[in-house]
Amino acid sequence: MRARLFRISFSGELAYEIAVPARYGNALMARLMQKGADLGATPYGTEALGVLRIEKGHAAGNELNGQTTAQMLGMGRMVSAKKDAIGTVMTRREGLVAEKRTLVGLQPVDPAEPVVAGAHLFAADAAQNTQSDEGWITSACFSPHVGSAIGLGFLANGTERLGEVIVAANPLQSQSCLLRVVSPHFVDPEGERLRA
Amino acid sequence: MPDLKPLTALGGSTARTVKYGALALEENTGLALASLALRRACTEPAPFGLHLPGPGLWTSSDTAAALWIGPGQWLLEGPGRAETDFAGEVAAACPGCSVTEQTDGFVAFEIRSAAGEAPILALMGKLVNLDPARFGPGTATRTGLEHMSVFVIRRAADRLAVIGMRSAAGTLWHALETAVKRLAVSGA
Repeated sequence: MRARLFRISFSGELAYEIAVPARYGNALMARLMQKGADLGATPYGTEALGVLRIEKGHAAGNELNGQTTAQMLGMGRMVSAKKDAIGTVMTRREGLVAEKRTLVGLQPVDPAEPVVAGAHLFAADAAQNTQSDEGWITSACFSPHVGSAIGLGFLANGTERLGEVIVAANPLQSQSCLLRVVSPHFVDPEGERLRA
Repeated sequence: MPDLKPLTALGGSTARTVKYGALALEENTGLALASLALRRACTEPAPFGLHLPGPGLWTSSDTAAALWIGPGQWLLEGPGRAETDFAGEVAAACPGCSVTEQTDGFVAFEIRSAAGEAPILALMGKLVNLDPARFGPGTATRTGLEHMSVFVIRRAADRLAVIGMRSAAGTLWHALETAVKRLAVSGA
C-alpha cells in the first residue's frame, strides 16, 4: 500500500506518524493495535498527549504563542547572532533582547495544591502588582509521573532560580499557591530513555 | 494489494446507493482525483489526451476527465482508479506542473436519471444556486450546497456528480438523499 512514514513527535518521545489513504485509516489502526498488543500498545487522546508533553517540557502552542522567542524557550543558542535567518531581525529588537523571562518548570510545595495555567508569578515576599509581576504559567496538568500538579511558565531570570520558592497568584479567584521553580524537564531530562 | 479492508467515505464496506423514482444516487468510491496547476513558463499539458477545459467546463475521455477549478488549475478525475497512484500518473503526464493527490480528501456522489433530463433539472432547481438551463452537459463549477463547498459536474443530460469534502460525506449524502426523496414524493 502507498504510505508515508514520518519520524515526528508531539510529546518529545520517539514517535512516528503513518499516513495512508483515508479509506484505510480504520483498518490500519486496528492492525497496529493487533500487532502492538504484546508491546502494550494503547490509543491515547489529546489530553494525555498534553500531559506527556508538559512532563517532557516540550513547548507547544501555549508557549509558542507568537510573543515568545527562542531565547525565552532556552533555545537561544540555536539562533546565530551573526548570521541571517528567518526571524533574526525580530530577535534583535530592543524589547526582545532585553526580555529576561525564560521557560521553567513549576511544582507546588504542597503536592496537594493545584497549579493554575494563567496564574501570574511573583517573588515570595513581593507585593503583587504589575510592576512586581515576574511572569506567568503557560501550561498545567496533573502529572502521574511526578505525583502532583506541575506546570510550565515563563519566569524572569528563571533558569538561574531553580529551587527557589515563588508565589503563583490567581486573583480572579482570590487564590495563591507556593511553587518551587524546577527544570521544565520532569521526565528523562537527559533523553536517556528516549535513546535507550 | 493491501490486505487491509478499506471503508468508504460513508463508513461502509461497499458503496452506498439509493433509488427514489427516476433518480439513483450512488457513492462513487472508485473515483481517483488529482489537482493540477500550471507553473510559470510551463506549457499547458494534455494529460491522457484531454484538452484541458476553460472556465466552467468539464471534459472527459474514456479513461479520465478534467474540470476547470481556477486560472491555470484543474481537477483531474480517474474513474475506477482510486486504488492506484493516479496523481503519479498525472504528474508523469504533466511535466513541470504541480500535481497533488486529492482522492481521499473528497467524496464523490453520482446522480443518474432513468427518465432523461427532466428529473436532473428538477433536482438542480432544488439544490444549488445554478441556472439548470445554462448548466448543460460538459459544464462544471464550484459552488455551495447547504453551506458546504462542492464541485458540481453535469456529466451528461441525465447525469450529475457532486464532489464534496470527505469529512462531510454523511451530511452531503443526507442533503442529496433528502432532495431526491422529496422529488420522488412530489412526483417530479
